[in-house]
Amino acid sequence: MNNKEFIAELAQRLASTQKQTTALTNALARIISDNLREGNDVALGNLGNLCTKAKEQRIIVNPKTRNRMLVPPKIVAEFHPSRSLKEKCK
Amino acid sequence: MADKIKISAIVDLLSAECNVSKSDAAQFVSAFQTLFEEILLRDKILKINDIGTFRVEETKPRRSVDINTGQTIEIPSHSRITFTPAASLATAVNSDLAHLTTFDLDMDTNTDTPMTEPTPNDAPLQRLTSDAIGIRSLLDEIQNVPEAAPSDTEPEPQPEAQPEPSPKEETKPRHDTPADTDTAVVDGTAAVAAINREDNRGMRTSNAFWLSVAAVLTLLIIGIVVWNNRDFFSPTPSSAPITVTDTITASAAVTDTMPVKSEEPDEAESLDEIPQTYIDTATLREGSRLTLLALKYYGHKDFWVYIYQANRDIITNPNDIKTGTRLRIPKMPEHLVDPNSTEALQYARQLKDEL
Repeated sequence: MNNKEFIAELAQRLASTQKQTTALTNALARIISDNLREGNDVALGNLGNLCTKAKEQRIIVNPKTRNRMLVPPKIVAEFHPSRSLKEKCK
Repeated sequence: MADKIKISAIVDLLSAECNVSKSDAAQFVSAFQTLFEEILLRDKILKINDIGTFRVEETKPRRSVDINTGQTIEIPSHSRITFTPAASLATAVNSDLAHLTTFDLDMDTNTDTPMTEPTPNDAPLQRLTSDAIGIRSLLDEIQNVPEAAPSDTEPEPQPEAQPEPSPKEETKPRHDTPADTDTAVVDGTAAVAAINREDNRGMRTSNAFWLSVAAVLTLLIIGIVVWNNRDFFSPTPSSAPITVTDTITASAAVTDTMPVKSEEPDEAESLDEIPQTYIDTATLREGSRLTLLALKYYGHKDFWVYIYQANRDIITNPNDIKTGTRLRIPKMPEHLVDPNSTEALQYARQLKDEL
C-alpha cells in the first residue's frame, strides 16, 4: 500500500481529515528523521525499533576494469521489527 | 546521544509540533501502529513518505546442518520484514559523513604510491621480471640464430666463466681458420663471410665451423646479458671493472656475428628441425588459438604471450593467424609458466599489456 492509501485509511479510522492526518504523519517522519540523525533510536511501540548503524569503509573491485574503489564509511537507518510483529509475519 | 525515544516521547513531540492535544496525538500514534501492522501483514508492502518502505519478504526453504548433531535439516520457508529507508531519511541520517565520496584507489597507486608497494611483496616479482627479461632476449636470439639454440639451455654457469672467454673468443676464430684452408679463406672477418657465401661447394665443412662460431658468440652474448642483469641486481664493487671488459668484447662480438647471422639461419634452419629449446611445433587448425595452445602446453591460457614471442617472425597479428601456420612452442622455465603462481600469471599479463 502506498502513502496516499495509507493516509486515507488512517484518516478514516481516526475520523479526521486527510490534511490533518498528513500533517501528523509528516511530523512523525520528521521526528524520526531528526532523532535518527542525532543517533537516537526510535521505538515504535509494538512495531519495533528504528535505529542507526555505522557501516565500515570497504574496498570494492569493479569486475570490468579491475579498479579498486574505496567506499567511505556511512551511517544507515535500520528497522528492527519487534518479536510480536515477527511472530505475526510467520 | 543514543537515547531511546519511546512512544510517550513521540506523542509529546507530535502534540507540540502540530498543535494538537496529547490525547489526539496518542490516538493518532496508536491508530498508526495498528494500521501499520494490519496493512503490512495484508499487503506485504507499506510505503510511508519520508520514512521508507517496509516489506514482508518470503525466504525459500533451504538446507542446513544442525551444528550439534551434524545432521542436515531443512529450514522451512518463512517471512521476514525488511526496511528500505527513504532517500530523504538516508541522507539525513548520513549527513555527518555526506562529504565522503567513493574514490578510485588504483588511479592513486598509479601516480604516487608505486614507491611504497615494491618493498613488501614485489621482491619475488622483481626477480621474475629480471629473469623474464633475460628469457625474452633469449627468445629473440633463438629466432635470429636458431642453430645456436641448443647451447642456450645452460645460460646459468656462463656468468662465472665470463671473464675468461673474452680472450678465447678472439683466439678461436683465428685458430679455426687454418682448418678451413680448402676454401679460399684468409681472415676470420666479414670478408670471409662474403667469400664463403659465394663458395657453395665448401659449404658443408664451413657450415660446421660457422655453427660452432655462432654458438660461441651467442653464448657470449647471453653471458653478457645475464652478467649485466646480475650487476643490475646486486651491484658489487668487484664486478664493475669486469663489465667494462665485457662490453668491449661485446662490441667485437657484434661485428663478428653480423655476417654469420645473415648467412646461416635461412639456409640450414627450417621448421622441421626443432631446437631443444622448443618443446614442440604445433600446426594451427581451424578454431585453434594461441590461448588454447598455451592452455595445452603450459596449463594456463595467459601464457600465450611466450608462444607469440617465439613466433614473432611468423605471426603479425596474434588475433588473426592463418590456419595451417606452424608454430614453435618454446620451452620455458617452470616458474614462469606455473599456472598456480599468481606472480607468473601477473607477469604474463603484464607482458601482454606491453604488446
